[in-house]
Amino acid sequence: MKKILGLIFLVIIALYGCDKVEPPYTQQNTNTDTTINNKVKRVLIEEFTGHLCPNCPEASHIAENLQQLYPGKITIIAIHSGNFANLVSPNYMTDFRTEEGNILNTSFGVSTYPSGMVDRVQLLGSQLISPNEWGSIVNDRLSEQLIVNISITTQYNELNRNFNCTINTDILSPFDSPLMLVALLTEDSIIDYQKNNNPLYGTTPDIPHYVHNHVLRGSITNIWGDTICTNCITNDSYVKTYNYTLSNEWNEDNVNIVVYCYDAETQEIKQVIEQRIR
Amino acid sequence: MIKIKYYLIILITLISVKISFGQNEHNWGQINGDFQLDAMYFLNDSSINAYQPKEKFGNNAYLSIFYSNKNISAGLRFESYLPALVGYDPQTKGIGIAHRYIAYQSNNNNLKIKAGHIYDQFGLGLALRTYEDRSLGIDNAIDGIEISYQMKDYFIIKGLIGTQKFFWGNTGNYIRGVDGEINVNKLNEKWAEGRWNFSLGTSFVSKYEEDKDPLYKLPENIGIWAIRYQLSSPFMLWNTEIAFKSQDPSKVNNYIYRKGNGAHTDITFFGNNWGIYLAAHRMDNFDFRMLRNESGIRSIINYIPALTQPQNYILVKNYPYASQAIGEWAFSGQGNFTIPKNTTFGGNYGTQIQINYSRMHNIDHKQINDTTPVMASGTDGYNSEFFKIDKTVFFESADFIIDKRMSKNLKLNFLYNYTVYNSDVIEGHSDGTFYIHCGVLDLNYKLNKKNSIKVQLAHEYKEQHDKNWLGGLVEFAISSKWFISLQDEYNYGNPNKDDRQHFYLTGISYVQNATRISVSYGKVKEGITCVGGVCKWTPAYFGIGINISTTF
Repeated sequence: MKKILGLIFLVIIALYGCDKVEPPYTQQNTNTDTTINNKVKRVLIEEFTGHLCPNCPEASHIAENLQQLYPGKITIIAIHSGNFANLVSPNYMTDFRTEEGNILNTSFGVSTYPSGMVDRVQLLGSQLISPNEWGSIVNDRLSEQLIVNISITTQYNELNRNFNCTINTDILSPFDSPLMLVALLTEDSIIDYQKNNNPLYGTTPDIPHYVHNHVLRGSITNIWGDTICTNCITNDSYVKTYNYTLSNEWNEDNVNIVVYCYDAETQEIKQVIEQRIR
Repeated sequence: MIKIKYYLIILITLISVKISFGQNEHNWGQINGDFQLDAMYFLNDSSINAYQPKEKFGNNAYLSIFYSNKNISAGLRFESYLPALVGYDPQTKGIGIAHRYIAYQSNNNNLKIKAGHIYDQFGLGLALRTYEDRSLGIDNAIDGIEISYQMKDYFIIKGLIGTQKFFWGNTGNYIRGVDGEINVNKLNEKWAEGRWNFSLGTSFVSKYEEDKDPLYKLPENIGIWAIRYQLSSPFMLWNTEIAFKSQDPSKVNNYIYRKGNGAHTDITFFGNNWGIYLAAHRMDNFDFRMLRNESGIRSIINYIPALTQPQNYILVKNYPYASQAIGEWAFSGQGNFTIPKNTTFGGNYGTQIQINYSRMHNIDHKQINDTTPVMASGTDGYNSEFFKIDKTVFFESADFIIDKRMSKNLKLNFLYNYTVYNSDVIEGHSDGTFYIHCGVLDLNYKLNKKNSIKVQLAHEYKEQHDKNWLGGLVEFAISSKWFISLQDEYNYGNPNKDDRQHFYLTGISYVQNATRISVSYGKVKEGITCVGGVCKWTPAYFGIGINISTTF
């Protein structure tokens, strides 16, 4: 009987082996390095979303929290696609979908919203990752060694809404898979309706003046990109120049160019950069 | 077809192996197993939202082999999903050995050691339940080592450590558990002679998951401690389990830091012509899984005992209840009575009556302070009074079932069911709550010694969503070997005329000893499939199916 009581005692002791977290439960932002150093690894979050998706404002909030936690190191692309991006009258008639977004949605087999990809890395066999997991992967990815550096120079002509961009890629470490370069456009600060089911992020079930940020608008290159090099050697540099005319429906002051390089074999994104076109 | 041939060759080979083992004079031990193939060629029918996937042919196949020789036993299961059938997690896609173990047990059965994939349950499962269910696509086995030891005949203790299987790999996080149970009666000779049995048990399960999240301070060691008892006698059985969970912010609870708890009790009384079952439980922030960012049926560790009766009749079975580990107050009762034969209501053969009732509510939620909304992430979430029940009804179901033999050859069952179904909570949709009345008439007629016919007619009435349905099923059993069935569920009351669809399903099966081969053709509507309150969502599908199963 003593043995039994001893074992029960051990079980109770084990209970106290659980961690207890005291408030505040969120990490305080201690990151004071807000300088944007060109030669650090940055991370891309591709967020699959839709204006009819009631859980999506929460996911956007998570992504933007990460942007605040790591200033200048996180780029977000909000890809409106799937059934939640359909048009429904009278309030949901703005079409945020793009051909490129639909291709990505189908190619990566997105079936639940919100979901997303962080540098397109796999977690437990899947590239599609739920928003609450983005943070831990971002954390891992930021400590990755940078193998390619990207820089952009743009020239925007206000009269014809045309811009030229020159993209420089510098190989920092040898790389034996083909390296692809993709250039896309996103738009911030579009005010429109959004479904919502969480009062923490706005009114429910609709937010009439929701601020849609990072909305994928189109691609300058093909959505799968242009090949930079197939056997990349340290210190090699490549220059690509592109020309693009903005749609009249976009606010030129809020349009960003997003450029990323990815490994054609693993699809992992090696570096991303984002800047306003003007 | 190539795939089917491939499985048949494996099957025949295995049966041959079994025969060769049996014929050998040496005692090389015993080998047995089972095989199951569920395959379907999918077709398109946009009228019911059934879309042909890119990979038009889906199959789930399972081949298990178990070997035992004296104190040693071992087993493995080969599985193939190329790709998995519609409704199964796409991550199941693959082929290989999905389950393997080796086990030892001492001659007196006191000591048992098992290494590999482990299925087990502590108590009622509030702390731990690992199992496989093919209809759900769930396999949350622990990949590790389990040791159990029985001390005399009154105390058993077991402990396990490992990680959890996750599709073709594992979660990478650690789980450890210990469970002990004392049979109090056997401590004392006088008690052992009595008609009452009383056992006490306790268990502790904890997991380790690294905190890599930059936004939250997450606990890395999370545990559940449970205590339980069972009291039994020749006329009653009473089970109770209470469990407490440490802080466990996760995707399911929206990253709140409130501790969880769960309490379940059920009691059954039985007599000669009657039985009564009563149960209640309360779950409060009690979802526990190996991966804090998973949801649905992925990586679950514990189990919430289901308090609803499983339904097998057409139409009625379309509204199962999914247990809400995040918070629910559940009540259930069941009564079975037999009216003796040769009485007014009993007739010549007696009449069986069954009454079931279950009702699930949300638990009480109060804000932790005036400025923080309930369930706000990164907070304690909410406060809750234990005995206060929220007005929100998740589910309610009442059944009245009469089971009566009319003559030697004719048996009649009648069911009336009333269900309140909160689809927003159960399915995560926004279709609101349905109030469903359903009547089913089930006739079984024996044509002669080997042939019989079964006819089922059902009607569902509801004012909400897709409104009224009519259902019918006819099944012929020929020579006890062939089974031909035809069923249809018709949504004749749908307010949208284009959605007034028939969901017909026809099939033919052949059964020979332990082998069953069947072919089916038809449509299945979208909905949730539940086993014991654990559910998965299945989209509508249309196709030709082949099922083969055997044991050897």
